[in-house]
Order: sequence, then structure tokens, then C-alpha cells
Amino acid sequence: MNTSDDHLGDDSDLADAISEIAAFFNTPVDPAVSQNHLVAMFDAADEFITSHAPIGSAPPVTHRRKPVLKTLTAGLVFKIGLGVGATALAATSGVALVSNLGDSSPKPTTVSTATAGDRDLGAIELAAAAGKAQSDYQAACVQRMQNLSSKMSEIMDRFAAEHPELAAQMPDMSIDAPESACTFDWKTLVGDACATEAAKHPDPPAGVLEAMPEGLRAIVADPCNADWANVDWAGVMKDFDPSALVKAACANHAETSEGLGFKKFCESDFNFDFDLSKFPDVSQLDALTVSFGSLHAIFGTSAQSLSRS
Amino acid sequence: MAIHGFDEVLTAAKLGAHWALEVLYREMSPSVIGWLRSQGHSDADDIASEVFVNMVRDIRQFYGDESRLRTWIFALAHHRMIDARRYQTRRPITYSDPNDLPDASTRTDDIESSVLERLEPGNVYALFDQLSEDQRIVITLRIVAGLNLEQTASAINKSVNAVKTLQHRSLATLARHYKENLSAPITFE
Repeated sequence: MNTSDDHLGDDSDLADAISEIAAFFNTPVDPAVSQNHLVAMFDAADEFITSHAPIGSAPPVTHRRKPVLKTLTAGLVFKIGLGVGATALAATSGVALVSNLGDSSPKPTTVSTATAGDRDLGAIELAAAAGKAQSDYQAACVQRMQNLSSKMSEIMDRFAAEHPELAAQMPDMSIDAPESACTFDWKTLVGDACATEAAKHPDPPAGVLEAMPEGLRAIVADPCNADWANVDWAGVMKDFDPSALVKAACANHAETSEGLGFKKFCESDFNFDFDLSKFPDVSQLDALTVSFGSLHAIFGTSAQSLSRS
Repeated sequence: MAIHGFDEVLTAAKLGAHWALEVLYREMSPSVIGWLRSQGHSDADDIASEVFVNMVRDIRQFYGDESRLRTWIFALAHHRMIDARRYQTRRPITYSDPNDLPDASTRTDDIESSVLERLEPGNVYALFDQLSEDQRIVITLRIVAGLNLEQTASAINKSVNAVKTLQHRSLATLARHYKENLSAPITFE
């Protein structure tokens, strides 16, 4: 029972009632029910692990990469993760909305993208269309939302978990009012989510930026306004030189007196005998961006240090 | 709520460690299931299962402390409860069959025993029946789930002021009906 921050239960009679109600419902869970719940949870966890290899685990490719290289490749997508991962849920919400408005060619794959986990790049690519069709398909939107409400709730749950500070801006998807989603300004929410996330992470210094593939620089520099739909990912990966990127990062790091774990890394004998032709495809890149939290802990620290140089 | 070594538990849960997920479940499930029951759902256990499976699937996206985790899980529960209600026919809420609730004979706690003497299941639900749905959700999140005002507001995506208003009205209603029946024991059905 919570009585600490307001006058809940300060009436003695009502306090009795409140105590009784709290005790009435807070009973031990039936062991058989608990067992069923735990089995379902463990199955879900195992299923998720199987389909989402985290950074540090063996990649689902024929060759094995060194952990440090995986960190580096993850570093390359540091800002991609920032722009994509942070906004994916909101973007996906909008995309699932506008791409399924009941026009002549509904895109069911968009919805599956929204819920299947490989949401990042696909979602942001489609997010470019978010808002465009919204006003054109109002009636169809309402109809469609009635069918999507459950999926949308899941998406919004995920978004709320990642961005609780933006929860107040989110449309009320939990009420039987699909029109609220159809009139909602998704583009603004996506923009705010991106800006919020971007503000948490400093831009890489110029040297590091220049070491990135040309096709990636604009996105890294301004992920919230980048033209995600037209990124030439094949070209980006073709131009990707991990050694140059690390050297640039280390060179910038040398200019700062602040020592972090990255300094040790720079002083180590790193060597990337990496066959770029075997670089994972975009879907695997997604897996890296999904693990953005881990990535930030590893690479973001160094990026922050660099930014202060 | 106090999970020893919460940060480690959360990190392990994000990696899918069963032990960590079980720690979170053991800590959260009584209040989650209790809250779902307080909403009158006879299938509270099934809805709770969905809530915790959702938690497992999305916990990698979660960042925050215990308080925020609790808020998030109740937001999940709120959404799943709304979803479940949609699947029901659009008839008025029918509360659980009191016979489905935990048997008083299985309880050993003295306080709970005394509670059951005064508040039979039908009485509690009838008391809640005096409230609007929003009022019931707010007051049960406060009383049963133990959320504070800010957590409650966040869980149901309303402003703190809106929650305060709903809480004030529901308390006034509960107080009125509770006092009215103190002298004469409440009997339902």
C-alpha cells in the first residue's frame, strides 16, 4: 500500500478499508500458476536469444571475427543506432500506421517488421513515409487501427520502455479510440525521440567522422534529419575501413588528457585482418544496433572522451 | 519492492538468464496478478502470463531503476488488461466469480484472515462497482500495486493532476459507501 506522498488513507475508517483491499488482492501466487508463467517466460527468453545474437556472441556467419573488431563494427553503427534504434519504435508505430491505411496495396510486411525485432533499418526507411499518407487516409486509418490495436499497444509499450520521458506525448492507444492514433502527429514524436536520444550522445570529432564511409557521414552527423530511405548500405560497407576509423579515433583521443579504457585499447596492437566482402548483411547490422545499450557502454565512452578533445 | 543487486539482476535478465527473470517474476507477480484480479478479470492469470512474456521480450529496451521497472510492468499490465477487455463482448464488466478467488482456508496470515471476515469477495467488488473504470484503475494501482502518484500517472499515460483528481473522487466514493455500511454489514447477493 502506498500512503507516503498524498492523503491516501488518512481517514481512519477508509484506512482500514484500504488496508483490507490491499491485503485482499496481494496474495501469494499459486505455485502451479507461477510454474506456467515461468515456463512461458523462459521459452520467450530462449526464443529471443536464438533470434537476436547479441554483441559478443558468435555471429551467424561462416567466419569468426575478433571481439574487438565486433566492437569496432558496432562503433561504426554507433550513430546509426542512435538515429535508428532510438526512433525505431516510434517510427515503426507511424509506419505501421501509415503503411497499412487500407490503400490499394497494403503492406503487411511493415507490420511484421514492426513486431519481428528486425525493426531498425526497415522501420526507419519506411518512416520516411510516415505522416505523408496520414491525412489522406483518415477513414481507412481508423478502420485499420481497429485491427492493429493489439500490435500497436505492443509497439507503444516498447517505445515507452525506451523513452519514458516522451510517454506524455504519446497518443492514448489503450482506449477504444483508433482515431486518436490517426490524427496523432507521429513525425513530431519521432523527431522528439531522435532529438532526445541524440542529445545524450556527443557527435564524433571531425577526424573520426572523416574516417567513416562517405555514405555514412551525413547520417552520423545528423541522424534525425538523415535521408534513411536512400542510404546505399552496400556502398557504405564497401568503403568501410575499420583500421582507419580506429586510428582516427585514437588520434583524437591522444589530444585529450582524460584517460579511459579506450586509451589502453589504442595502445594495444590492434590488427584488423577483416575481409570486408564477408561483412554481415544489413540484417546482421540490425542485430548490432539492437544492442545499442551495450555498444554505448563499450564505444560510447570513448566517443564521449573524444568529444571533449 | 527491493531486489538485492537489482542492476546485476536487470543485466542478467536482459541477457535472458532464467534465474534473473525468475527473481523479477517472484518480486512482481503477486501485485501484478492481484491488480489484474482487482480489475475483475477472471482470467487474470492468463493476462499476467502475457505481461511477463512481454516483459521478457522487451526488457532489453528497458533502462532505469526498480521504481521505473515497476511502473513499466504495470503499464504493460494496463495495456494487456485493456486488450483483454476488448476481446470480451462489449458488455459491462462482470467481476470474477468469488468462488474463483483464493480460498480463505488456505490463508494463514492473521491480517488476511481478519480481512476476509470483513470483506468478502463480493463486497470488495461491489465497493469497486461504485467507481468509474478510470477511478478503479487509479485507486487499485495506488492501493493494490503500491504505485505512487507519479508511477501511476506514467503507467496509465495520464498526468499526475488527472490521477490526483481520479484518486480524490474514488476515495470520496469509497469512503462514503464504506462508512454507510459500517454499522450494517455489507451484504451482496
